[in-house]
Amino acid sequence: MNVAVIQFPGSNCDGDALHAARLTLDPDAQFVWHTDDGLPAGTDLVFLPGGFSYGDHLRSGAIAARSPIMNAVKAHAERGGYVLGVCNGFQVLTESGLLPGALSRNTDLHFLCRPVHLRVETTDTAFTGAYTAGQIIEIPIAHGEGNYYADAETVARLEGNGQVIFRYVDNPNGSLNDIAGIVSERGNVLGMMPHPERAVEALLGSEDGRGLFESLKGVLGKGVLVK
Amino acid sequence: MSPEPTKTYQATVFQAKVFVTLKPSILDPQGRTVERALSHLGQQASGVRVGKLIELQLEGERGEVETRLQDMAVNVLSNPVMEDVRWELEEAPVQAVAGA
Repeated sequence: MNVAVIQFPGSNCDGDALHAARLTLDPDAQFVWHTDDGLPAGTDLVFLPGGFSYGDHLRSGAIAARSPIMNAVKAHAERGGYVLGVCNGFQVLTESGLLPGALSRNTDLHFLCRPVHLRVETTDTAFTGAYTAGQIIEIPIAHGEGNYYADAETVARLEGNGQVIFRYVDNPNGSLNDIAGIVSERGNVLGMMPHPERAVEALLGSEDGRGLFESLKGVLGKGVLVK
Repeated sequence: MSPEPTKTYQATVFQAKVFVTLKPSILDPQGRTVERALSHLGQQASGVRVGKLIELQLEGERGEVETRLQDMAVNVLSNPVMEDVRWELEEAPVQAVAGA
């Protein structure tokens, strides 16, 4: 499995993302710079890391979503390739139209940096196969704008299709329906505010994020692309 | 010897103001905080909403500038999921002259 971690100016979880990817999925996972116009040949998973791309100017993720590499990421997603956007990566995915909705300011205006509990809503996705349905996992959050919003029709569609795959047990930021992570309709693009890449080693507090990477490994091992 | 014909054109510079505001249906925690702070200072105000003003200068012929401004305002400067956007376009006092 080949993993590409995209680096934008202001990404700050890129090192963690690369470390987690190398530990769990691909010892040769590599960085790709935002001005590149193509992904390395054979890329299976694009990892959009957290951070404050372009200083969060204009809107979180707005400028990164319009950078040259994103055309290649969109083409990759259209081909059925996997994309994982964490935190700022999730914001980049909504800004680029790869996922619906938007992330707005946390209702209490605070930057929240702490472990939270998530419920795994479905195991029927490439990202959650290694968990059990309804499993509660502990994953850290670190964001000021993680309040998921979409119009009622979009939220109903997400819920109807089972696209909400992670939900906060105790909603920290005001997200509609306690949404912490959603997948695209085809299931190959995941955006989530919590940081699974920061929870892959017990030594660092939790390895509950490991299941996400193990899930991908399982799916790609079978050579299955998207649903 | 007749003088060289001089080609001149005037490109007008426009000053644009783009106002980006959260849609009325979206909760504005920033506005609410400002409203509470005002109230603590003894200043009563309601319906406080915080938005953004983006100023830019654009050069060209009015119709074409309007088209470009609309494209920028709708597709880049605002996010239609959460925000409303409107703009004003005025001829800037200074005119750029290109010629000869």
